[in-house]
Amino acid sequence: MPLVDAPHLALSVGFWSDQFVNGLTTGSLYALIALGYTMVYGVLKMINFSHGEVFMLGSFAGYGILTAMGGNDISGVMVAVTILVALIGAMAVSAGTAAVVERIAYRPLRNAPRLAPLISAIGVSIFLQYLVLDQTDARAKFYPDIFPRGDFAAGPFDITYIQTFLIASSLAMMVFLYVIIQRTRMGRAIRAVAENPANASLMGVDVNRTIVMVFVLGAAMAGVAGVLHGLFFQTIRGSMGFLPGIKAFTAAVLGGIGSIPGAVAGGYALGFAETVGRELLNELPGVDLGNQWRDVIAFSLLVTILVFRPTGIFAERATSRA
Amino acid sequence: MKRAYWSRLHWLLTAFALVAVVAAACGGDDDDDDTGGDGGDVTYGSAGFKVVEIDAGAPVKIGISSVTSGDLKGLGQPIVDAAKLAGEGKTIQGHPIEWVVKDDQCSADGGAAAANQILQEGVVAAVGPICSGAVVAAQPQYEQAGVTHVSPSSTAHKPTFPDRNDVFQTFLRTTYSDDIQGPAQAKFAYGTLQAKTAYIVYDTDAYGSGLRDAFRKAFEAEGGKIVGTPEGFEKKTTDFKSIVTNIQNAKPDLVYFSGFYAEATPFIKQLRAENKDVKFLSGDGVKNDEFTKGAGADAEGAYLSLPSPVYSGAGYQSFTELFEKATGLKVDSSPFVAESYDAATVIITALEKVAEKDGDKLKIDLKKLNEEIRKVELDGAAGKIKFDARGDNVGGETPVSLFVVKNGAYEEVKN
Amino acid sequence: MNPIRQLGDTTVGRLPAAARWPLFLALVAMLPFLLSGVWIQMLFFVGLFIVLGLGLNVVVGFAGLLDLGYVAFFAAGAYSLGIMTSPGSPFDLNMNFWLVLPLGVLIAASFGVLLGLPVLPLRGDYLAIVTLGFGEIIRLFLVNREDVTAGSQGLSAIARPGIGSFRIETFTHWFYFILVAAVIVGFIASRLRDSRIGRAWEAIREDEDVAAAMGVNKVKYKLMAFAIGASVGGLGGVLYASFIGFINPAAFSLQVSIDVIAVVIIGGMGSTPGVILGSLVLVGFPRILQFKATADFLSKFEWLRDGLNGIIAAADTVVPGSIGRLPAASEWGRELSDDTRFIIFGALLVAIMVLRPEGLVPSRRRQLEFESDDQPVPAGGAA
Repeated sequence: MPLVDAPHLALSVGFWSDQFVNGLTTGSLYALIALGYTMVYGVLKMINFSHGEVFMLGSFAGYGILTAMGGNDISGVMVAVTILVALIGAMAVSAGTAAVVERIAYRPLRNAPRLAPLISAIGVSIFLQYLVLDQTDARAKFYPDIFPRGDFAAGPFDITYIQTFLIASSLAMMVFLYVIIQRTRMGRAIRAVAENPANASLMGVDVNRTIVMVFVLGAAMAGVAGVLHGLFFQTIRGSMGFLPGIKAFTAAVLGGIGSIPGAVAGGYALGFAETVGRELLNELPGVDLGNQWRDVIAFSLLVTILVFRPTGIFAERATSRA
Repeated sequence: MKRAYWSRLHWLLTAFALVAVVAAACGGDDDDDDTGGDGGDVTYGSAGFKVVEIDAGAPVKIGISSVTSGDLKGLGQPIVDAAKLAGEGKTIQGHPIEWVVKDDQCSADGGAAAANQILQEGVVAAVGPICSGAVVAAQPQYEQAGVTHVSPSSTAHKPTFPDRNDVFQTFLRTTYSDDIQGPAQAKFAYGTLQAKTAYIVYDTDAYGSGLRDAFRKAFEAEGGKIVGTPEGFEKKTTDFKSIVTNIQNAKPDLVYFSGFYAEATPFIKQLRAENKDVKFLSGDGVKNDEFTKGAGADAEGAYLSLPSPVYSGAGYQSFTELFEKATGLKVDSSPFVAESYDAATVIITALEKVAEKDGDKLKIDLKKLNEEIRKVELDGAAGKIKFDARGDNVGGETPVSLFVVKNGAYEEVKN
Repeated sequence: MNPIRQLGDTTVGRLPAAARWPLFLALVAMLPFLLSGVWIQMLFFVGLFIVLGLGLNVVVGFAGLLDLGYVAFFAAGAYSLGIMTSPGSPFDLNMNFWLVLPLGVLIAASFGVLLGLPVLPLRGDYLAIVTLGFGEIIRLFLVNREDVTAGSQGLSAIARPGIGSFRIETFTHWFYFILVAAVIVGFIASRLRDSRIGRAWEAIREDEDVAAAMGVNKVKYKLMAFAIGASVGGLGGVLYASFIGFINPAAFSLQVSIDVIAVVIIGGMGSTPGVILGSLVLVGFPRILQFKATADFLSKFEWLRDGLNGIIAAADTVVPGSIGRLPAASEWGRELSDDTRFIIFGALLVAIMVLRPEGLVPSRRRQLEFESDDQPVPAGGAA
């Protein structure tokens, strides 16, 4: 029995531009988190399953800082200051966690069978998630509601301040990362290790240090994503890292894992598929997909793209040895 | 070489995948119509009642099956604490009460495993399981052992209307089923709030989808219309932006949300950021202090129902005092704790009547205990309690009460 | 190669090897006479994960295809039985268990081929994420196609098997049932490994391109691995659904896939004793912690608690501050079965991998491979 009487007639321009902005916001977060997956994969060829938890810890760090600095009572210029402090603090906590995790759980496994680091990463993920669940009694925490509300119109787009902030700071972080990778000495070392660790080591690159830096950079991005997620959606909890983690990983693979532009493209592609894509499918006659099909659409997109391009949209080096 | 073969195959597969997704998705939300019905015409299966003998000085054991780990611990632990409070300072003819608490993880496997462990320790009755999935998986075991269990929080249709023909004699619940809450919400929405169209947003779990069906059916029967596509979400979802945009487009009079406060909080914040006017109605999974605290000003004007009468009688007063002192938690922020206290009270009350001294031993006939528990009528912490033949609580005269959030507090709305 | 090990293989090891499995199985078969219901129920789940582990081992261990969506096949089997036998199912077919058992296995196998086809050209971690997505799609299908699966409300009163008038009902019956299933699956898997097919898988696992060049039909053998792994998953699903009597989509989350793959890898990829040990450690141990027997056993360590609390008290006086005391020793198991259990479980996974990266009981053949193969960080082209 169809539940809908008049399917999607009066869909206005406003509707589509709103969904576009939704895709942009969701996609920004996916992209930021996906960067961590793709960088670690590029260097170590391993799926860092604990990355979602690093994102979660960043979000909690931001929450801790915001509440400690006054919570809902923060106002005026202090809002900008505290959010900046929270972002930096979250980056530090996430990066620190990732560095410690790398040292304890991944480095000893560098030459182990390929799947050992995967299980180790799953172990870290469970450990961190339940540690936080235990500490918070599994209750959700709510970010202070301090970000100024309101929106402005830009052409057909109607964007709230927080969305603008989220999208802009995500893009800024991506540019920042790109500059580090492309323009600095450390970036060169990272690229060299990703290319061939043995050669890089021969050329005098400290491989261990470089790998730690890869984890730290990726985690910092996730930390920022954690705070932005908290500010925007306002609810955080110990188990929040799992789903965005999986989605971001999907995004990284979609873009071509190991490729930084790929992770960004994959993130936005996934964000749009879940929002605009679903509504486009709903325009087809007889199709009526509720939000509950969102993940099905995301994963179907992944399968479809990989069938045509088995190494993702931006396959780094499309050699026959995939 | 193989290239051409591959790409042709790929086109085919992709076309197939797309068709599969679309086919899987369309026509999905058909209603199944086995809701409703009254308590009458009940046949029981055969329960394996025994007589339990308890040695002199040995404790009388009562099981508790709840969630004490993971994401739902915040729900499950207070329920355990509340049940235990009911036995505080009480003995069964001089025998102390011992609680056997097992973690059922709110899952089918967990429910069955916890039931087995609880039964093996020789309990005479049990509180729980607290989730409907665990209840349905555990019911056959309790039935076989003849141990009566009272769930404080399972609201699904299935536990008292099982798939098999026979009703479980050993199952009762102190909370009210979705079959009572959904229609009351629908009546309130259509009648009192004058909402002619509603947009449904639901948690895809057993609770959310069960309540959704009950509401939809009743709302349409009242004459209302469901607009847009009912939108489901998985637990832990925080991103509701896309749903809000669809709501904006459908322009309903009312948004109906069946789910829990953890998701309702980000949802209503995102909804109110775009739409200040649409009415919001939800149920017992949302009505607690965490919601008003978390959603702040955005919660103002939200309507919430609770499948129990507003009760401020002596039972409620004394329980609130006891619970808040013992746990440091607010009763309002911990769903189902009063029901849990009542479930344990029901069991203990019946035990006090049924337990017989036999020499220096204590004899408890589980069949008599079951009959006695079914007969119990009391003014509990959550309201009046009285069971029908299926084990549903029918004690409340106006079993569903409705509230509106005003200045951060819940205020009752009279129909 | 180690000469001593070779000697062991040929002389000392061989003779008992033939008797080792029968002896082990005979001992296992005696367990129901020694243990109570909760233990047997726990062992059923251990047995179930052994079956699932053996099935996934074919895909991951033999053919080297990382499958993170194994739960899809488990669900396919379980829901086949549920939909065809539960009175609550939208299609109340009321079929016989023995009829659905092969059907369920077949349906799961066809799901395996369905998944296998589009992912054939994918390798390594691309395969991992696609299979993971496949598992999620299946679960979401179960949740949302309520007209087919009854959705989150689940299906109850699922059929149980009987032979004539004898019904498989008690935990002990089920224990033997799953034992027989595990033995059959284990036997088939070991025969497959040592057959032409097994060697073809090994070749694909080691180097797909070389294998193809040598004339191994990649498509056929990869699909075969998926289909066989999937049918074992389906078998596990049918048994599980019948045992538990009630299924809902929540029981088929990604967590199951992760648990099964952890069983395989913790035990040692490609190794049957490894799967058994892995299942005992990952599935059995967390349940045992909750048992009353565990609490009774732990209560003997009250002296240890007193001692430790003494030390804590001493430290407390030296460094003032409120350090908590340990709870009663008999409570430790229960305390551990809290969130702490998962915290420890996570740490344990890391520790086992760091200390024994090849698993607890590595397969002998693989062990040899690892020893001869000491290249550093996996090099080579992009992913």
